[in-house]
Amino acid sequence: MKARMMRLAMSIALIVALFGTIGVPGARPAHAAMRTLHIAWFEFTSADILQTLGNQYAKEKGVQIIVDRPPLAQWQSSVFNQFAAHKTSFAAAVLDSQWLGQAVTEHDVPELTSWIKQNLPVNQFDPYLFAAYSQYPQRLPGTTGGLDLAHGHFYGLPWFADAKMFAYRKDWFADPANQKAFMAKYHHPLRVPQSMDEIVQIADFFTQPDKGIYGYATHEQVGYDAAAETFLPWCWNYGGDIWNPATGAVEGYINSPRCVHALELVDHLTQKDSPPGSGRNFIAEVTTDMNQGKVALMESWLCCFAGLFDPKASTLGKTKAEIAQKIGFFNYPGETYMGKHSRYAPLGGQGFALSAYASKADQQAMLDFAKWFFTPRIQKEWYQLGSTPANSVILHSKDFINAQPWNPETSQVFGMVKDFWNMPEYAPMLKVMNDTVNASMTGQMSAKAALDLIAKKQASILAATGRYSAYK
Amino acid sequence: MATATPSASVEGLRRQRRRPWLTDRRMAFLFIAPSVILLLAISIFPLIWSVYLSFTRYKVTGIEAPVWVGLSNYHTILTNNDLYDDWHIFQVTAVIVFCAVTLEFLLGFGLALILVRKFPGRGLILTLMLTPMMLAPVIVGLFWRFMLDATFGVVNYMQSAWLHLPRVDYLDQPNTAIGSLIVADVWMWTPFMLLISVAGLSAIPRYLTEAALVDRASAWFRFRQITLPLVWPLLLIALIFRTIDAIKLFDLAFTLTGGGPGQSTLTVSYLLFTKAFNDYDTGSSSALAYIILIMVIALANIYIRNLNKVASA
Repeated sequence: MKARMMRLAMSIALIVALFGTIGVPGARPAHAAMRTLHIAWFEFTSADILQTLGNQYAKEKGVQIIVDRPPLAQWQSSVFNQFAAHKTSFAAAVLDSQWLGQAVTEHDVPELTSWIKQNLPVNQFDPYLFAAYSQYPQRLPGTTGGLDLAHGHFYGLPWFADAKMFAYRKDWFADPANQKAFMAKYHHPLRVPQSMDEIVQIADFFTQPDKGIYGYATHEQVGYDAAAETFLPWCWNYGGDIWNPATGAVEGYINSPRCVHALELVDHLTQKDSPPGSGRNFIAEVTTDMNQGKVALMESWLCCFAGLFDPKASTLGKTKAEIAQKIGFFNYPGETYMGKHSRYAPLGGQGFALSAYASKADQQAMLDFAKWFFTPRIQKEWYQLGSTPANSVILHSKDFINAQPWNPETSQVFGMVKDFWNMPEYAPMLKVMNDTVNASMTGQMSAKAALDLIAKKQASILAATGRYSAYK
Repeated sequence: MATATPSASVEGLRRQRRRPWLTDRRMAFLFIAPSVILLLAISIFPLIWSVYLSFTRYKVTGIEAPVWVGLSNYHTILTNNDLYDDWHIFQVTAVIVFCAVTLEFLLGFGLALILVRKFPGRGLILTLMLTPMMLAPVIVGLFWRFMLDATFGVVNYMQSAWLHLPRVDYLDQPNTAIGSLIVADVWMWTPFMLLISVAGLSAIPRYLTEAALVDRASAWFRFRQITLPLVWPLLLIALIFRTIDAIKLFDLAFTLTGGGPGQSTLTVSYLLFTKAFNDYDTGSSSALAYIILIMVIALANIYIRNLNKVASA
């Protein structure tokens, strides 16, 4: 009996010692000298820059900010899995704009309207841009007037602004032989394109598969929003739209003749003018295509353009200055189609939101960090280190414009950005659109068939919510 | 006469008087209690709860309680047969499973027939051939993705430089993407069939083969009447394992094709992952999980019946 009790006591002691040694998972070390707060984002340059600023904040204010950076593919699930558990290891998260509806309706992020009124110079931000990262229900494109802080509900702070643009081989454009041949074929000069149709012409012109040169590289892959965010700006620039936000109707919008025409052009570009294997392209692949001198035009998020100026990765020059002589940038030129002129760029970037499951003290500490982050001094560091602020005054300042080769275009792009839906059902809606658009881009189905299929499936998803009048 | 010594029985009485509640049975129960609680918490309770959720409309990230919808989730999954819908994905998975398992069986057993004989270097060759199945599926998916790349992949290089064939974009067309998935799976799991087959073939008593040789039986006769019947039960077990595993195919599809192009290589496991952790549609994903479970049980039963028939014969 004594031996048995001894064994039982030793087992219990062993278990206690084990937890005492390795700790309870998720517990913070009791002996930590500095308070530590976590922000959830994903692994990319701006998150690394935020960590640099977090370390600086620790030195200045004595609170350590750690930026959790899982791979992009796991970013959404790493945040929402914790939201589902009603317990987060982070006190704040940087959320993609389309996640806002789900996070708000599931009570995962607290409202910040009064804090914003008291602490942010909102008149220094483009209202649509601010609202895209913050407001739910969503502010619609075309809504005039400033940010509606009196009646709207705001849950995020405009942390990191991003949009899509084009990079191009300006040395190829400047080549007299190319100029002459292009003029002969298209009867206007080879130049920064003045319309979406001209982009197609330029891509066709430069495509010479026998020489390993192609006209165009863009995001196509099955995964998150890669292919969808390629299709959307073309759809918008040809005057189309993906749904009616007032009624929820999709049929007749996403598969309208305008959108079909837009996707047909994208299919032409991806199947005829893009390097082989482009069906799985995302940021790294298109950057590599440009760095290896394979393509004349590259369509990508501006946050990734720094990768074009790395001499170790690029064959275009041995120094940044050499590379800068060969690469230029331009915004979406817009298009006049069927009597309607449209000019849009897809909105990227993310907003900063608090976790509703963090303690009040941690939430307040995060807001203190946010207030520090939005000071002019730190916003300047933010872009000097390589990221992009959302503040319009900064975006139009001479200092910002001169900071990076693509910043002159960046300072203009946020006046033409457009976002897609941020409803709670965005995830299945986006998966349907992204994967089916990819199927069209890779030639598995026609643009019309793809968009008809998307319309049918998205209508089914929206009808199941019971919230939209188009389905009642 | 074996009886407890007077001192032991007195000691036992003293023990019972001190702690009457701590009997041997209860002590044993105390020791296994943590494991039982763990099993209940992470296996039994989730099993029962997920069965319930499969009959509800529920999002685990949502704020609403589960709403009972009966068989609606099951009906939707089993009747949606449009392109990229659930039942269509079942059909794609069935093709991948059938082709992959068949090829693994034929190749694995064929190689085993060669490698079961003793020859110099047999051990080393066998060890090297088993290496693919020891790799992590994610790594296998990634390097097959690089090898099959249309621009810099070694497969396209070999076929264009050595065989003068045009380059093929293996991962951007549905048929070749499915084929690539099958090839990667076969490359990885044929060694498993090989191992089981070698074990089975090695266990065949030599005297049976020798007796057949003495009677001048042909190689085909020996194979059909001696080798195959004796090794068949083991092969069936290997087929059961591989079929169940192939139905669960996720990591190769995730890394090699991402389910694309479109959703043409989306397997049922990948679909389950998407429903559960992308859409957070807990009700539908629970229903899908049980449909897969029932399919696997049904298939396993077919194999086991066959196995029992063979065993009784």
